[in-house]
Amino acid sequence: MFTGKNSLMIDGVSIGQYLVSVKYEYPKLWSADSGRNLAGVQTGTLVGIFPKIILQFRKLTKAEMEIVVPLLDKANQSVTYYDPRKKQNVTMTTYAGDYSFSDNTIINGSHKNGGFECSLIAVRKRA
Amino acid sequence: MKVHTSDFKNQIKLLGRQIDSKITYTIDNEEIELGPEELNSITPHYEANILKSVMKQLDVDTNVEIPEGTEINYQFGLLVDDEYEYIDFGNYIVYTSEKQEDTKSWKLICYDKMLYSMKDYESLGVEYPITVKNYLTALCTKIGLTLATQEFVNDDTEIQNELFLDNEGNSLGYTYRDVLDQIAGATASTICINENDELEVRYITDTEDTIDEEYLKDIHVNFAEKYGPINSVVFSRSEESDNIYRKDDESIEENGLHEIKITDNELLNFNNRDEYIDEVFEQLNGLEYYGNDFSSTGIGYYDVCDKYNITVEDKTYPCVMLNDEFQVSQGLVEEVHTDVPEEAVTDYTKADKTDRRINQTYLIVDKQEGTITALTSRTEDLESEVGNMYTVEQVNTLIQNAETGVTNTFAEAGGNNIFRNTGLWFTAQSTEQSLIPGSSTYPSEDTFAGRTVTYEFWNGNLKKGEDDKAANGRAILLQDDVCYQEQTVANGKYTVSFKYKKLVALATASVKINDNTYTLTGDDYKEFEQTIEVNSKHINVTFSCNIANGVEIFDLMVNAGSVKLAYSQNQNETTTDTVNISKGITITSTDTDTTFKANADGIRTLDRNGNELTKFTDIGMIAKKVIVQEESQIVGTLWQEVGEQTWITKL
Repeated sequence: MFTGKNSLMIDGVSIGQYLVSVKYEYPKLWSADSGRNLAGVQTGTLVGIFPKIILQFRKLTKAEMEIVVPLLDKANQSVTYYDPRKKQNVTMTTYAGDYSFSDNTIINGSHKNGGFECSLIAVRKRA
Repeated sequence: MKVHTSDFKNQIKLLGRQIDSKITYTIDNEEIELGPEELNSITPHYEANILKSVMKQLDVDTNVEIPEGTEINYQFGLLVDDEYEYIDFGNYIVYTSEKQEDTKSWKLICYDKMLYSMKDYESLGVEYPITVKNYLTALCTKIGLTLATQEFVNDDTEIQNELFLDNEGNSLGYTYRDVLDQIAGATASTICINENDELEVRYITDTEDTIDEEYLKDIHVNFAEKYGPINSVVFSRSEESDNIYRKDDESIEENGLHEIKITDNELLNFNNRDEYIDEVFEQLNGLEYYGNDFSSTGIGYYDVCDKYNITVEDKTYPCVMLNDEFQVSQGLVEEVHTDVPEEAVTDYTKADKTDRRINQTYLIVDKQEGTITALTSRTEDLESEVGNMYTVEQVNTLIQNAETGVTNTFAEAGGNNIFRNTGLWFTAQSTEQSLIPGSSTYPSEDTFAGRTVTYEFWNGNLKKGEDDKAANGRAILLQDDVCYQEQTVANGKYTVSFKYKKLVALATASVKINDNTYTLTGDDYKEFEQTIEVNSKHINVTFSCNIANGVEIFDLMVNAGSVKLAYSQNQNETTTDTVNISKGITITSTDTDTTFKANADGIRTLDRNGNELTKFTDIGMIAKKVIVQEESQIVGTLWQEVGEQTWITKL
């Protein structure tokens, strides 16, 4: 939940200033034992909830890109965000999904490349 | 059942259950706990049966190496009301650890402390008789366990003697685990390790717990025919013979016969087994349950021998937990099956309630003695006649002491004597002495003095005598000299025996057998017997005496072995009154006063004086006289009697 411009940090960098929107997902991972039992009731083991934060970046300058890209290219990131269930900021280790952006002009000075999207997915289930 | 709450039971079947696993162990005084991040999968499982012992197993796939021999504890957790509730699956010993390089993890196989019983059985150092309980306590102490159960079926029944070692304390191939299996049979129980690592004599216990379809997967749910109710218990010896039983006739009439048979159990092998059967029957009578084979979404809290119910729609199946596999990884699946024992059918006409029935036939295999005892009425008759049975030594003594028949037979046929010409039948070949009584060359008492007669196989000075007490009627008369015979034999034990009598009171005589000399003493008939060990491949028997005809020797016998045999001739000799077979064949005809001799010197007939009458050679026959009564052909002429004339005709 984006509660303030500094409520979303990646490795200590406040990332909100570079975003146009952020989407918070809480997907459940079910075990292979899930299915219907003899009574027809759905049953199964919940492995856990693995939060996913989808970042929608605005058009960024060359200097801004040089700040954001190294964060996304790392194998893991330490992400702090506000968790409404815990009602507090929570830090989790994530891995980043693929991202891409396109340029239709020479990016220099105040010129900016196109916006892009990138996901950060929790390595471990939410505690 | 394992300790758990009703919330646990409710939660485990729900969608969205969250599970956890913990393995704890200590290494170098440091307690280590592995959780779900280190553990890839854990599978506790066991295969049990009634009347047997069971060893539980734990299979672990872990990212952390745990050394072999480490004692670990496993707990399974379930999130209940925001907190994990753990079920303790007990302690295990890491038995093997295998590194899997493809997944960079270790695969462990672990067993509970029943593992301590998987070694060769040794004496428990107890005194017999001993109660089953005390015996089991001693066994537990021996293998490093504690007996948890103080009261159980047949706990005060006595074991009469050591059953799992032979009489000299040597192994019969049993392990302590084998012995526990046999005790489980005799106590109608399942022997296992409990949550406190103690050895427990466990019985099927009704938990009065019921699970329904929500605990079962929608595939692979099978129930077999109901087993029981058991209403007959049979104890059977080896090869399923010699059965004793207890039956509930009322239950048999109502439900049909459902028999359980305990076979080949050492505690139940002997004639005191009826001391065990009543309590065993009381424990097992009425037991019934359904065989089953199903996959569960997970139960977790049942333990071995728990009796529980499964309700499917409107049918309830009472079941007993005997085989369980609890597979924990990201999720949970539990595989349960209970086999139904094969029902035995005993021929009760050949069985009885005890072993004491008269005329009962039974077969007891006594592994400690290494014997098989068969008791039948015929065997009892035989046993009562055992005083009439003879050993080999007794038979030989009988034969040699027989006054007629056997001894005489041996005297007339070749036998076991190593020495030759012990009756002085055969004179030496260089002097052709007639054996026809009355002949001028026949040695007689009147001609003994001054005559020197040598005898085949003998050396020195000796003479032939006679004695009715001798088997062959003949004796050797010792002279004031020595005489001996020597034979080549294989090394080993031999016995020299003979009878002797001093004919002259002042005579001094002795016998030397190889290197040892023995004095012949006494005035009356005496027997001499000596067993010797031959190391030089020969036997020399030398007689010596200081007076002519001073001592007579007869029934001289030299035989192999350490037991004296009755007198017999050498196997190459046969002597009767008219036939001697030795180095040749001599046949004497008293009617014609002739002797036929066939030996190395030729084939011939002799007159009573030993003169050669006929001789067969390689060109024919040489004869002193030929009498042809009617006709003969000689060198191409025919000589024949015609009337009163003799005609000679050229052919």
